[in-house]
Parts: sequence; C-alpha cells; structure tokens
Amino acid sequence: MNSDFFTQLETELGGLTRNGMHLTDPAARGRRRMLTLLRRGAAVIMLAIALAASLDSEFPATARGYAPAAVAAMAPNS
Amino acid sequence: MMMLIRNRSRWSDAQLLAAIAACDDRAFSVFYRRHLATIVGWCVRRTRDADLAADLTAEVFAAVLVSAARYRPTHDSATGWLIGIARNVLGHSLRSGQVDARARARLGAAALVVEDDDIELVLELAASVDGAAGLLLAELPADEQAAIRARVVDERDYSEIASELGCSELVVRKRVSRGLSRMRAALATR
Repeated sequence: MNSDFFTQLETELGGLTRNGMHLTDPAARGRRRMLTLLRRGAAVIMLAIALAASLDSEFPATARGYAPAAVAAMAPNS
Repeated sequence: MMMLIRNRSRWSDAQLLAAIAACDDRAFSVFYRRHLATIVGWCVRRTRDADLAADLTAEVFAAVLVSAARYRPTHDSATGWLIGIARNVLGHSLRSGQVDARARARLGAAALVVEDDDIELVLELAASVDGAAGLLLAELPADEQAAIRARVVDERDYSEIASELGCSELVVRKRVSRGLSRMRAALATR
C-alpha cells in the first residue's frame, strides 16, 4: 500500500509512542513492552473464547467432539 | 478531566502532550494533525526547499515525542514551544551541515523517503497555513500588517523594525500586540 510521507510519519511515530520508545528509563520501556504483550495476549485469549462460545452455540455436538447422529433411513433387510 | 473527555480532538495541547508522554498514540495523532501544517509551513518559509522541509518536520515531531514529558504549559496552545523545537532542529542542521536526526536516532525510527508526490503535498500544506494567516493579516490596518510581517514572519528585532518604520520600539511592540489580538479574535469568530 502506498501512502504519502506525512501519513507514514504519523504511523511510524504513533507506533513508537505506543511502544514507549520515548521513555528515558530502560526499565519503564521494558515494562511498557511487557504490558503491550500482555494486552495482546489477553486480546487473543478473549477472541479464542468468543470463537469457542459461538462455535459451541452454533454447532454444539461438533464443538464437544462428536458428530451428530446421522439420521439415515436404513432400508430393512429383507 | 482528560479521561472524562474521550474525544481527544477536544483536548488542549497540554493534555495531549501529557497523554503522549504516557504512551497514548491516539493523542499523538491528534497533536500531529493539529500542528503539521504550521510546522511544514514554518520549515518551507525558512528553507525554501520542500524536500528539506519534510525531513525537518519529521525530526521536529520526533523531538516532540522525546520532549513531551518536559512540556510545561504557558499558553493554551503549544505552538510557541513547537516552533522553538523547530528552530533548534533547523539551527543544529545548519551548524552541522546535515539535517538533524538525533531524535529519530534516539527513538530508533525508520528513515522515510520523500517522493516526488510528497513535494506537492508539502507545498499544499505550507500554502494552507500561509493562506489562512494571510487572509487574517490582510484584514489588519497597514501599520499593524507591516509590524507583524517584520516581527513574526521575518523574525526581525524590534529595534531594527523601529528604525526602518521610523518609530519607537514601543510603538512597534504595540502594533504587533494589537494586530495579533485582532487576528486571534477574528480567528475565534470563524
């Protein structure tokens, strides 16, 4: 994707702000990075839980690990 | 207060800078968009070179990020503080013979390339700020216009302006102050 110089600059400096690269204390920068990772991890876990919940409500049998009993008309042996 | 108003575009510069210091990237975006044209315009006027102006602007905003925690508000707007940073960046660049990149190096920012299309954008941004200020300036009496152009745009000393205009320094100061007040009032009503 092509964007102009000033949009790229905004994105770049915004990212550095979020990651706390302007913090002078290396420990604070490390804590900031750890916090970002924790937030991302929590977001991934929440997303997985939401997906699992929706799967369970839409396809309860499949989600619990067994296939729904096939309702098949079996022709009686003659 | 800051947390109560969720819309960052309504925050003052001081609130935005405090949030930037606390790693709020959305506050950075609002501050950047609020002041970009002013800084680009200032750099273009000083350098007469769009390519150089873009590069200097990048360094100015990187320096804003580095210095945000040290900002102490003296006015509602941080424009004066920002222009001070721009002046330092330009001064260092002129002394060293290359565009200052200390703040970007300190942050580990990637080097951005100014493309041909960006030159047009730089000039558009500079014209937008010059245009707005120019319109307000044109509405002032001629003596106030001359004093503001000499002092604010060309950054000349009061004594020099006074001798050129054939009046005292005090008169020049009054004209600048009165003209700027009028411009501020006109801007507030638009």
